[in-house]
Amino acid sequence: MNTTLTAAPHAALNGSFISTTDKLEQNLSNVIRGKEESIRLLLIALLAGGHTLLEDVPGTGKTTLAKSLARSIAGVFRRIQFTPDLLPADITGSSFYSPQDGSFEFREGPVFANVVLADEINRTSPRTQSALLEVMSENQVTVEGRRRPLPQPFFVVATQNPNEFHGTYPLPEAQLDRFTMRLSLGYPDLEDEIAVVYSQNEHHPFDDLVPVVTCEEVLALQEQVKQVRFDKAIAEYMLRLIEATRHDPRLRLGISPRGSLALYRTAQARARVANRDYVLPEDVRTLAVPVLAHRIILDTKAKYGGLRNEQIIEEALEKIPVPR
Amino acid sequence: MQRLPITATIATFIAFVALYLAPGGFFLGPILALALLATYAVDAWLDLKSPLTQIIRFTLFGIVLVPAFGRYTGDNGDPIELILAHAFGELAACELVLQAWLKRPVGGQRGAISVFLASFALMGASNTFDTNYIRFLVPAYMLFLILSLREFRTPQETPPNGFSLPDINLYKPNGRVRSWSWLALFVAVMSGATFHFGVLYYRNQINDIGLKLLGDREPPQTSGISTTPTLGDTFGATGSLTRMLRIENFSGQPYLRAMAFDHYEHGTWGPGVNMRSYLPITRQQVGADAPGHHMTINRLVDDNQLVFTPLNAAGIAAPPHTELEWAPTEGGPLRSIEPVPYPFIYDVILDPNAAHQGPLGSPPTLAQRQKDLEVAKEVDPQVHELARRIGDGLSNPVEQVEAVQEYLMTHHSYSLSTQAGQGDPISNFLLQRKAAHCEYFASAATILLRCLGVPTRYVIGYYVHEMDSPNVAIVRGRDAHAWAESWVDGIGWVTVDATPGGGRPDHTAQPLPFSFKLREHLQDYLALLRDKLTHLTRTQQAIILAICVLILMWRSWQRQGPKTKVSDEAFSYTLSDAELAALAARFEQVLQKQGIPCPPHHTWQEHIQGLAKAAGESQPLNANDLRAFLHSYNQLRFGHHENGITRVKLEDLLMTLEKVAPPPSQYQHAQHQKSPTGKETP
Repeated sequence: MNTTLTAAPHAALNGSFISTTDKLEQNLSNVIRGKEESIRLLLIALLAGGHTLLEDVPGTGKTTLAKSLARSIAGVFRRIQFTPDLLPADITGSSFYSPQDGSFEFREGPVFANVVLADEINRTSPRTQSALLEVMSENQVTVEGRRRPLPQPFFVVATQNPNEFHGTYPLPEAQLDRFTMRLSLGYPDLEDEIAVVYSQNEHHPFDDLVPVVTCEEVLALQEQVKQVRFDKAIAEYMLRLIEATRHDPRLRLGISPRGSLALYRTAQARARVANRDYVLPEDVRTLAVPVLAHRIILDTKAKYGGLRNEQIIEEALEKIPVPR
Repeated sequence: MQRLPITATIATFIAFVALYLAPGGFFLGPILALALLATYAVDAWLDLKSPLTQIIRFTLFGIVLVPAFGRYTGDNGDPIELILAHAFGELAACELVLQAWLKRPVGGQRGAISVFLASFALMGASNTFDTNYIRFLVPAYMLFLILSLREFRTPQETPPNGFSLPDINLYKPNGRVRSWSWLALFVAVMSGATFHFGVLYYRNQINDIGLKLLGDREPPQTSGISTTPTLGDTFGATGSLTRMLRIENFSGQPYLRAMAFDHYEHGTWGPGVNMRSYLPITRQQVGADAPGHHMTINRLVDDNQLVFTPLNAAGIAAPPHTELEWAPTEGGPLRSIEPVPYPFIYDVILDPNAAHQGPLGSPPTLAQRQKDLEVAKEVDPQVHELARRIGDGLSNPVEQVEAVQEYLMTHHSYSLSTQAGQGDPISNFLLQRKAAHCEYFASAATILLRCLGVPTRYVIGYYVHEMDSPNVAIVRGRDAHAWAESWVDGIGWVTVDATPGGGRPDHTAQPLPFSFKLREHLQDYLALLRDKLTHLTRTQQAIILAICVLILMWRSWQRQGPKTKVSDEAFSYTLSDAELAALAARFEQVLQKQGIPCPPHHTWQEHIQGLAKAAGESQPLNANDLRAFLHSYNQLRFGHHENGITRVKLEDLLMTLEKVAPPPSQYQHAQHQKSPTGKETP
């Protein structure tokens, strides 16, 4: 693990970080009211180079959030509406025969974008789901034996509706592991909802959104995140939290090393967003639930006993002593 | 506000004490080394970075200790060993300085004080060494100085790449810290320069100042008696409290003579101690092997190389290799040929038969007899008349002596000061019946007895009266006394003390304050310890050294032991910075004191925020202080921002928080509220 902070050649961005992330946050909260916490987590996931699963009921602003993010970073935004008949080639792209010159031409699928909204990912067949997840983990598309790199930054925001079961193919828990974070937006509170209603009286605030950061800046920020110091004591703490889930008798599956890596990177990103060059135990603690909760699998008895994944992580947080 | 580590202070203090108390200062090197060793043994703060450093250090201490003792174990110290002992003594002093610097956090008051103290310690240590070594010492001192000054530079204010400064006022060194840094820099450079020039060129003056500051209020005496007694207005040798002699197995004979004088002229007794013709005296002649009671005299000062003895000494046993000489025809004195280092210890042998007189009591030759009967022409004829009156009808010399003694004691009173007047002081004293001091009484007795035809000489020495313990007597400068000795055929030399009882040293001496005696005893014990240590065999030295090393190893093992254990429960400090751990512990105590202990599975930040939510503004600790403390602490602890200013700031904030008193009601309330969470902790 990289625990030492080394100087990096990003002189052009020197000192601009705080304004960059603040600008992004500000921009997004103009559109999505009262969800600062979720916006921040989304940014953290972006800076950590991970992907996010938004799990919530319809109409809470999942799509708007993803669209706004794409526009804010001046990137290409594509949306894939997942349906049961969607095929892998529909998302990755495929070669078409061109009658004019008699050759095959590759036509890029919707994943060739900076921000991809995979809407209602649980509505498509597992085959197509797997294709997307593969793209997410490898950042490239292999079609007909040719590797085609995806544009950078590449950020997938998948949404799913947890309440509908009719005609859905729920993501297998093992595949959920590939999402860095699972968030839910939830309903806005009264005041915020009033603001939402009024703000859309004449036109959607999304239309006023202007890009505030370039894709290059985002990439540079992702590099800087890697230089945030992660003290060994905190790493120990983090791994103890994770270790606790691996030995929990109520769990069928604990947290994988991929989960540790995700928590490590997102903690660094959170420190960056808070404009620190070092990770605090708070970073790990705040991110433990969104980063880890969806990665564990409760055993049947616990599940029907009404236990939630989040509770397991919260219990661990209340049990393991914190480094000070 | 901030203090040096107590052990560093003690080590410095010991260096000073050793410097002050150890005669010659040779012992300073080992003392410093031992003090440093003790510092390591007791101070868990000092970490001995790498095993290599430890090995080098122990080797150096070994080299310091062995030859330093070696110098004393042999009779003739090897000069190479002596040089090594000195050089490495300095090395130990440098080490002390280095440690003092290592211990201070950069900048701040503590830094300034430690640099200041360290330069003084170094100066003190080098004081006793030869100028040549100081030349080696100065570069070392300067090197350490530069090393330490490096820490005082302005901290880097540009943030790491890609960051802006989050909380600008926490990074900015404030004016106080800045001014202390400058002061420390100034003091360090100035004391370095002062050290270099001052010690090299004004060594003697510095020593004198040191003696005046640390030593007796009056300059130290090397002699208690006047060797050219002149009858003046005041007593020639005014008594000081400096110890001159220490006598073990004291015989009870109070008159301890230094020398006798025959010739009286113009109010002065002669010849002077250096004007006499001395002859070497062999051990046989001086009766070194004579049987009898041994009285050990320890001469603590130089005192003109004189050997003090009672009149009836049967022999003198001087230490080996010490040649004695005397002037037999001029009333002694006995003295060593070469100046001998003091303390000088010799034995006086006393014959059980008190009447028997040794080499000092040998009968006068004819020429000597004539000299002892000579009365100067300037003496008033009325004095002869007076003598005749006193000795009227007495033919026995013993009766004459008693008559003269009685006359002087009854017709004159004692006074420390008098007026010599015009002409012969003795005639004036006798004829005008003046009050005067013992020199007048002794001189007058001598002249009167000579007028009566009794061969008499004038003697100076000490009157022993102060008993330290039943067998041990102490002689101080104030015990200087003068009396006469008359030759009585058939008996020998007779001590004639004509000074009235109230004028003898045993009556004039003021009792000494307890603190004074205590200090003397401390000095004695240290001298004894030094004596004991220097007489250790090489095996014993090796054992002591081995024990020291073992203790150190044990301590360092013990220090590492709990650390690995703790890391299972709490978290190791990757900085291996015990100072941070101490700060953390203090902060926990602050929370404890306020009745708001932080449960182990919460971070302080969360804990404080939770409390603020629950209690609002009513909690006693200032929220801004807490926030600033946590911010600075986290920077050091998790951010590894090695920023001295942050460290100083942290200490300041913690002290502010520690001063906050817990309001009792609040305390109860908080305690009550917090106890369920507290119970949960494992």
